[in-house]
This record gives sequence, C-alpha cells and structure tokens, in this order.
Amino acid sequence: MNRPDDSFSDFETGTFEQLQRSFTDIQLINQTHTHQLYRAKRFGRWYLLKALQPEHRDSAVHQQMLLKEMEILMRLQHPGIVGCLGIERLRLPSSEEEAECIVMEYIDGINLKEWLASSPHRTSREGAEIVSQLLSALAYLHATGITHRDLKPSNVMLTRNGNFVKIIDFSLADTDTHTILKHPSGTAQYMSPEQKTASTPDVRNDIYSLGVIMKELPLADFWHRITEHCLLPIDQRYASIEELQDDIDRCKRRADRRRWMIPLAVLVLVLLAGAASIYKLDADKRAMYLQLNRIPIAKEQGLKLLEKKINATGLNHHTDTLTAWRYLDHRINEKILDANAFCYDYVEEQLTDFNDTEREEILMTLLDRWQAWHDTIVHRVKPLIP
Amino acid sequence: MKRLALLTLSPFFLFTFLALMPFASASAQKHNIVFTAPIRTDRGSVQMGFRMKEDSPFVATGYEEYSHPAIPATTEGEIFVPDSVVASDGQHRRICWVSRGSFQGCKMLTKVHLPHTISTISDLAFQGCDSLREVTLSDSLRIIYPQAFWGCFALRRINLRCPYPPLTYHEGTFEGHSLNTATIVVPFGSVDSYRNDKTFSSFRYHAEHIPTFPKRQP
Repeated sequence: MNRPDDSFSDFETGTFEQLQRSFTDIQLINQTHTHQLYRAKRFGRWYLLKALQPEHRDSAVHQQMLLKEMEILMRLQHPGIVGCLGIERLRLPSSEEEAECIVMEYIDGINLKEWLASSPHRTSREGAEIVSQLLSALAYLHATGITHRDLKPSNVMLTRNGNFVKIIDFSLADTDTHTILKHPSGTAQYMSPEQKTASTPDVRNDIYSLGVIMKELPLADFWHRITEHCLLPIDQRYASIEELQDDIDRCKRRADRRRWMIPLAVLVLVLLAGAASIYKLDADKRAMYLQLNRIPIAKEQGLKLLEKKINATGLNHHTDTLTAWRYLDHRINEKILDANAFCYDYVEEQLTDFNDTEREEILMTLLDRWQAWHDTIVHRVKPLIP
Repeated sequence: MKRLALLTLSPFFLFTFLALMPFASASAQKHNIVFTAPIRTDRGSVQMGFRMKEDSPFVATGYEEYSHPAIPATTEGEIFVPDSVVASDGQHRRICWVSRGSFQGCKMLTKVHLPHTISTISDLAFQGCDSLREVTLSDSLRIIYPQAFWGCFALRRINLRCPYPPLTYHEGTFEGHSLNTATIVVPFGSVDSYRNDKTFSSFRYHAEHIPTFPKRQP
C-alpha cells in the first residue's frame, strides 16, 4: 500500500505517545477579587482557564458559584457567547495545589471598553453591527431561560479576526432552574434599578444594561429613542429582545427611507434642472420637430380619438355576436354616421392652424379608417338581412 | 284667278291672326306664374319662391331668373322643402323641380332636405353654397344638371335615397374638393350601382343605410 508522501509537509507530526495531553504554557492573564484567569495551551490551541482565587477555593459558596457558571455555559452554544468545554482539576502556577478550572475557549481580541478607548473615530455602522450581534446572542440567551445580569463593555469581547462579538463572564448569570445563589448582583453603572433589589432574574435587566452600553457606542440618531426606551422603568421597558429588535427594524426602515429621500430629491431636482435646460436649449429643435411632424401628429391624435369613438358605439362586439337580423341595433346607422361626422368635426374644430390642403389630407386619413370600420360592420350584417 | 283667291282670303287670315293674338299673349303670361309660400327651417320658416304653369299640377322652386335665389340669400341653417305647396290659386301642387339657381349663393345654408317628389335638380341650383354640409336627395330624383353643387366646399354628406344613381353630367356636378372628402349615403345594396356611375364613382367614401328590423306596432 502506498503511504502518503509527507516529505514536503511543513508540519512535524509525532506519535500518539508523544502527544501532550495536558495544558501547557499556563499564564495568568487577569484576576478579580474572586477569580483568576489563565491562558493555557493544549493540542496547539489556547484556552481560557477560570479558577477561584486561592483564598476562596475552599469556600462552598464560591465553589457552587463556579459550578453554576460552568453549568450555565455548558448549556449555551452560540457564536456570540464564549464557548465552554467543561471543568477540570488542574495545577496552576500560582499554587502548588490543584484547583477546579472552567475550561473555555480563548478569545483573541479586546473587550468593548478597550475597543472604544482605542479609537475615538468609530463609525455608527460599526456600532450598529456590535449591537446587532449582541442582540442575537442575548435573544439566544434569553430563549434558553438565562439572564446574564452583568452585561457591560468589559464583558463583551471583540475578536481580532473581524470584530465578532462574544459575551463572556457568566459568573453572575442566573436561570429560573437554579435555586441557589440568587442575590442582587451586577456592576452598578450598568445595573438596572430593579436589579439592585430584586433577586429574580428578568430579561429586562439585560435590556437595561444593553441600553447603557448603546449609549456609549457610536450610533445613528434614530438609535437615541431606542436607547432611551431601554432605560425606562421596567414596566415601560422593552419586554423582550424580540420587541427591541422589531422596534429597531422599524426605525431602520424609516431612516433608510429618509436617507434615500434626500439624495433622491436632489437627483430629481438635478434631473429636472437638466431637462429644463435641455428643453430650453432644444426649444428651437423641438419647435422644428413639431412643425415638421404636425400633420402626422394631428393624424395620430385624430385616429386615437376616432378609435375611442368607434369603440364607444359598441358595434364591433354587437355585430360580431349578432345571430339574427331582428336583434340588430336600431341605432346602427346613427352610430355609424356619428363616427363619420366626428372625422369632419375633429378637423374643423381642432386643426384651425392648418391650411385647407393639410386639413383635407388629415380628414382623408380619418375617413379611410372610418370607411374600413364601416365596411367591416356591413360585411358582418349583410348575411343576416333578407 | 290666283290673284283673285288671294285677295278674297287675305281678310280672313288677317281676321284670324288678330283674333288669336290675345290668346297667344295670354298663354305666355300663364307659363310664368310665380308665387311664394313659407317653408320650414330649423329656425322657424322662410318665404320661398315657386313658379308653375297655370294648368300644371307641379311647381318648381325658384324664379325665372336664375340669378335670384328662391329664398333670401341670408337664410341660415337647415331648410326642409315640402313635397307640396298651396299655390296662389289655392290649389295644392307637388314640388318636383329644383329650378336653376334656386339656392344659388345662399352662403349660410348648412343643410337642405328635398322631398321625395323632386325628380330634377337644375344647373347651378346650389352653386356657391359654401356652408352647405349636408343635402338629402329624394328617391324620385332622376337627373341632376351640370354644376348643381359647384362651389359647395363644405359638403360632408349627400343622402341618396334612390337605389339607382340619378343621371348626371359628368362635368362638375359636384365641387372637385367634395369628391375627396364628402360621404355619400346610399340605400342598402346599391353601392355597386353607385360605384359604377361615372359621377358617383368619384366619391371616395360611402355609407350604406342598413335596414333594421321593423318595430312591432303597438
């Protein structure tokens, strides 16, 4: 059997025995008063390890909190939410004892706070894109019955490869199914007023926090009303992410319409101005065209009117469907001669600017058409008359 | 002998001639009886001149002199020539002749309806009626004399009731312009007769009067 030739490959492959299955290159990257965050590599990929501070590792409450966070994260699978692989007991550099660590995907990027600070000239389009991704993640989150309760710019990561949004830090997240660790929590600046007192998780808490985040983002004018609506008292606030999304869509459509109306109006004005100038410039040419074509134009107009007159008699259909002489319209001659008279009236009344020769020519065109119609009617009727 | 016979008979001839002369003049005067009678128009009535022979049951429209129309030259609109008229002697007489120049120069006439009794239209009868749009000719019409409708520039429609075309003189019965733009209305089934006539075949447009089913009498 021929084996694939890997002599030209850049990768050096070893054997399964040589495979490093444990985490390596463990580095502390951040810590809070309750948690430590490490970056570690396994199988060539970086992961985030979240562990309790050494002084809290023996605390049952904190252990329960860590476990709750892991359980919540394991229920979630969305591109806008940090992925979790489970919990492992690992030896961390900061201590000699092993500690329970939540293993999560490592997000290569910066958080929203850093992103806003890095450049003051962010566009409203970028802001709107971030909001859109946040809404998607939150809609999923709330649909699974989970509220984040600590939504803030530092808990929103933006990946380096395309500024994709990822919500992190579910340490304060809660669900209806968890009966433990239910207490008011959050970051004061982004916490809704009711969140400071209520322990029951409510999706509207996250909506409030989202509103505060939106205030900091560069967004178009029409977002102002939506943001304010997010920050209203709980009973007046959007009841769900879906409701918020609908309102955003409505405002976007209105804004889009307005956005196009102004340039469209300008374009129309420019076109009108252009047409007017061309019209003015070509007035002589136009007059010449009309003069040269006055007879054909008069003929065409007369023929159109004559056709209308003929159709109004209804004789075409009447004679086409006639089955017996007895049903013949008693006014048939009157209608035929009315159409005939129309030809003369049109020429006499509408063509006063034409000379006799021109009028005669136009009249004959109309009468030719009338004659053809008359002949058709007579041809249809004749066989039925004894 | 011959001289004696001539001498004897000449008084007789002279007497006879002198005796008949009054009758001769009387006959010439009877041929030129003229009178007027009112005829209907769309705006009321107008006095029309007629002429007749004393012992004839027929009258003709118009006067002896063709330069003098039978109706006032300023007559406007539509006129309806009756089929008979009460003559100066109080007798009804049929009108069967449109004499020369009867409507000549009546520039305000628009429509003329001739009765079914008319058999002849004389020359120049409607000459110069340049507002005349429509004329209705009778079904008894047998002859139209030259230039009867010469100068009728506005003629739109000629209603012909006779199934056969009346005799015409090809030289200018109708104004040349009218032949291109006027419409003749002919009885149903008589188109071919008119198309074969030397005068009426010149008309470009025609309409056949289509007969409709007789309405039931109540």
